Amino acid sequence: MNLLVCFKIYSDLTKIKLEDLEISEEMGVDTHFLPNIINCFDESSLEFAIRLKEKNPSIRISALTISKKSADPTLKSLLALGYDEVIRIKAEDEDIRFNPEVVSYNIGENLKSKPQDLILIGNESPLSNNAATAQLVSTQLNYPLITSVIDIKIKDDNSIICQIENNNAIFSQEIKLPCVLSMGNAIISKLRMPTLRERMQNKSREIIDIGFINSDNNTFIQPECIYKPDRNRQGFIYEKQVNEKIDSIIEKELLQRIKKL
Amino acid sequence: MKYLLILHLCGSNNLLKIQKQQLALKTYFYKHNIECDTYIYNNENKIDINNNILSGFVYFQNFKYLSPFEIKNEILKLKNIKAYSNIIFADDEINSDIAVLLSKDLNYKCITNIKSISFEDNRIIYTRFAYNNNLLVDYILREKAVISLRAFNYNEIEEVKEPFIINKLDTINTSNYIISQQVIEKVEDLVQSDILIAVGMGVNSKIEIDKIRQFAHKNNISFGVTRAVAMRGWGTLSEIIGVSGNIFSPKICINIGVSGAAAFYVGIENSEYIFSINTDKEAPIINLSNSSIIIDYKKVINPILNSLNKR
Repeated sequence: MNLLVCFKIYSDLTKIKLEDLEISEEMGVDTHFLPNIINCFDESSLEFAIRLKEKNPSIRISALTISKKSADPTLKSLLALGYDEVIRIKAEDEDIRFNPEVVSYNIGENLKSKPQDLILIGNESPLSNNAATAQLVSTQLNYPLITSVIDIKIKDDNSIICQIENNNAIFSQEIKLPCVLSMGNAIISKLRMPTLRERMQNKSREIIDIGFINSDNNTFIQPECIYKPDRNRQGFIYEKQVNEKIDSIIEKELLQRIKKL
Repeated sequence: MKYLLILHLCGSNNLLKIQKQQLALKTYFYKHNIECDTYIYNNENKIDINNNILSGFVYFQNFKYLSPFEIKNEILKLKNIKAYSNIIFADDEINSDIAVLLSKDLNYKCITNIKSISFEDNRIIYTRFAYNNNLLVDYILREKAVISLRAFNYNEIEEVKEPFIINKLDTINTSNYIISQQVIEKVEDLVQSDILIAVGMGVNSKIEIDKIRQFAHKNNISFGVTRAVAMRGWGTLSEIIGVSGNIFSPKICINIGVSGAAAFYVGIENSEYIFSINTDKEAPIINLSNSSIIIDYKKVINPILNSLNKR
């Protein structure tokens, strides 16, 4: 069985205050100074693939991303963690933020020569929050789409059992392969770190670099503008001698309002 | 101009939710002289619907499996599907997926996760979050489109006087790729009260979170957690507040130990009044609140719960 995880590396937006984000006239947002992280839903997927391979050693696991050269340390870590293949579609200057079709096209083109049985893609990812890549890959490959997946078990070579979460219910579904899974709030959410020994053993293994292909985008349109929301309520802050004023603060800020409900 | 609204009914639990979604969307679009038909799909416990809860022309269809492809294919079969200038999917995880699939088959434009739609002059502006919900993005679109909503404000409701006409479509009992399906856990729909208690990692004890949850449930108060709390196993997936969970619109929201990441804030943004308890004055939630108290939550939790008891 061939399993592919498509993942995204992006700048950690939790490390900056909203007011410090700068937007250029061309709708660019400078985030180059922020550390890279793996999208949280993709991080789940990457760990799931390793665990599935541990239980079923015959599974060949691959990871694919569209990223800049700066993502190399993360990609090397995946090789050290036992990924059979790590593919990077090189995109240094391409603006793919609001173009999920070109992302899915590049993934799909790569899979023409390497068909996969199971493809894991996170529900959505910054920066664009399109939530469309898994869906578009499934239409491009004509594979069925299973959404909001939170757990995966391999049943046999032809089927898997997934848990999916929807509307406060958890369903178990047995699914025929091949298929695309859109990964949701899985409890397995953190990717393990490779040991020093694993890093050394896999040091000579290479990331597979392939070129980025531009394609026409006819479904998703480009935005007109990007801007900061006006969210500040700038309310009152109680911080001095609050221990002595707790009751009066609660009375004023909560109790009086609660009584009016 | 006519739109088609798509709503997901998941058993009888969320009948009220889809009623509110239908009414709010109809109210909003009627103000702009747009009529709406509705397509409702249900994938749990084959049920019936009646005119006590819905209005206007409604397609209704039961599905045995929760299967985006099969639901999309049935929507495509609607006789007059191409007559609708916009197809609007209400807030729901699977709805957003079906929207993308449908747009490809109809060859329509698609915009996902729209939080608001505004009509200006001769154009429609669609707004949604980007950059992990930190920024807003505007799209202008004149062509036919498939739109999915997220964090849309369903609170503005007026009575829509329209006769209820239902077109019940054949139940779909098969799937080309789902071999079997069973519900293994079902949580009752979250309480939607005027008050919401949101708990974050600042409450660094599962026991304390359990206590607050029990209090909320006992007193019919909405309760939710941040994604980080749920991922630690101290809350359930169904309790997550924010873009990957539930969107609330309470009159009073009380945040306990919540830092206020943008993805979380989307879930409480429609609150009328936000009160936060945090030890960190620099936490993002402080600026996003109407009032805040900088203190260890343990020192105020009892007075707060007592005040809620006096409702």
